[in-house]
Amino acid sequence: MPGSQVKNITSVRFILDLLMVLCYMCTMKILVCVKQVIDTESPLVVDQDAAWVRDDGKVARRMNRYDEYALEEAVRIREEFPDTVIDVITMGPEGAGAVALKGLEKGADHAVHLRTGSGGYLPPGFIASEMAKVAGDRDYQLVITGFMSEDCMHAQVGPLLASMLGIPSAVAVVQQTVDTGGGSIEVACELEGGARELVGLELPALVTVQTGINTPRYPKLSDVLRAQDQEIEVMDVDDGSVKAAMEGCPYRLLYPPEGARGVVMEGTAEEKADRLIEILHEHSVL
Amino acid sequence: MKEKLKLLLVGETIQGTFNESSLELLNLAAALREGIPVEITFVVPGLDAAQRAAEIAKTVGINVISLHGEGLNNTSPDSMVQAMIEISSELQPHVICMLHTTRGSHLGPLVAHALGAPAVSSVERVHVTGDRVSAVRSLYNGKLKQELPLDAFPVILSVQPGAFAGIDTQALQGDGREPVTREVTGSDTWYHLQGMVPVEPEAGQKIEDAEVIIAGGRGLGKQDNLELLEELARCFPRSAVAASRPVVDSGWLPYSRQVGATGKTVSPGLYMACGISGASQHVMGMKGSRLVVAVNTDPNAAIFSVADYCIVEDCVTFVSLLIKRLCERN
Repeated sequence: MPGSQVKNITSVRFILDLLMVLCYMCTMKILVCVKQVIDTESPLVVDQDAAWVRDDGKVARRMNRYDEYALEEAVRIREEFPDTVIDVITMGPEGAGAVALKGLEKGADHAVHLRTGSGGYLPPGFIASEMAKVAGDRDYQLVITGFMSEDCMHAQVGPLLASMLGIPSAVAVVQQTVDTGGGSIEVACELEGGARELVGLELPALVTVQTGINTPRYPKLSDVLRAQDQEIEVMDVDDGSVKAAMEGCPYRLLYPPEGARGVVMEGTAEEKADRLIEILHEHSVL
Repeated sequence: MKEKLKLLLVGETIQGTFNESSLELLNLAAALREGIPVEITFVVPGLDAAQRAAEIAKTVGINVISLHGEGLNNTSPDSMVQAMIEISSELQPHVICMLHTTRGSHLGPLVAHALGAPAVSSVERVHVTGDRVSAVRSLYNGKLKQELPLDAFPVILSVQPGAFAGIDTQALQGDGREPVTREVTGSDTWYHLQGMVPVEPEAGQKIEDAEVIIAGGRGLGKQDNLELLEELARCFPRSAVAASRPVVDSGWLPYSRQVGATGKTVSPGLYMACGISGASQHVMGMKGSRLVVAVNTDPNAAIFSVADYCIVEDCVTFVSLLIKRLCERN
């Protein structure tokens, strides 16, 4: 009878909904996107092709600071909802595996390394699309990225990835509250001048976090040791697609114009201090 | 390209108030026009900003679209993407420009993906050579620059606030006209705005009122060293200690002391930057200062490009020395 069919469908839907809610309450899968960057304090010399920073062995590499906050936020969510599983994903050459390992040391349960044949600049659209391929069928309820990378400063990978995955997003998040029962997240986004906007997003969703959302911890020795035994899932990125992405995004690197610089003070520190005091007098600020 | 470069300038409205910085997009258009003919359409989102849309259409004399619809009094990204898809298919702009604010940095990539277009973020300068247009932006906190040719259209540009301010827009001046009103309907809404938390009021000397600002950055190393900056500040009348983002993120000073895009904009008589690298977000907040002195161990720090006097020294050691010398003189 049509009536009972409707009733059956309704009860099946009810059970499905209930299962989904229970599922949300049991486990929550979070993906954190992390990037390896050259330390901004390193001496940066543009390479011969004006394509990237020359690696003369003197540059130091580390995790993008914004991403450290992203990972810490995921770890805090897991402390509140212990059944949470955290994956980190990074993209870059062989050496970028160090950041995937760092992700495990800092508390991720699993790490994915999208390995490229060589290092250097990658357009944000390419990074996002490669990550979307992996994230697409892994059912993450929440994706967290840093607001931007310290090297390229595009602030694009997060929103692009959200758009590619077809999920809601919020950027420059400085506070978040996950309601896994209700399948939503409430965030405060930082606007210019320090005002904050409160926004609700249904899960699955992506947020990019601003620095200062938390204080990233140093990993515990036990976590560092545990991480050494964990396997990193390495997936090779096709060289041809890297080449195509780079050809589609021509650019060159430059140094900032020298002419803009002011007077560089010479001499010993004492001489500089004395000269500065004279200058401040000349400008009547002292 | 032989034809006119069609620009779609996308303003932003927060809580019903049009963000006047959006008018800097006109300065960008003026910079482009110096090398290439342009055709401008300016989008003003939100019913509450309709009055402002009418004024811009009348006084600047350009085509203005007053965009109405759900969420647009707050330039909600979900509704805006929908609107950009509709307007772009109709107007076929070459370049879609917005500010690189929190809103713009979110909207740019969403529109880029929806249109299958590239996006270039936080653009600081544009060049036109012949009929080739390129955009310049910062990498590594401004220590390096990236120049990208804009030759695949459409392209989305988000513009660093303040970067184009001051460029004369007189040449763009057209005849007064009426804005076109446009409704955006049926968008997939996913950005559920629940409220706004205003900036916290602060105690003590406000940094924006100070005549001398001693500002500290990551180079301070530890919180205790802030005391040195306080001590130096006391040598000057009407002075205050301020900071760059990493210092307030570490909780060493309240957010009300932060100079930069997400903090305060200051223009004191003296701005002394101690251990601040000079990210463009920070520079935006202090480049109007009359005299800038920067102290940093890194001779290539971007802060030196906006400093009148550059001192390559460790800021903690140098500030201690400076205080000692000042005390000896008094």
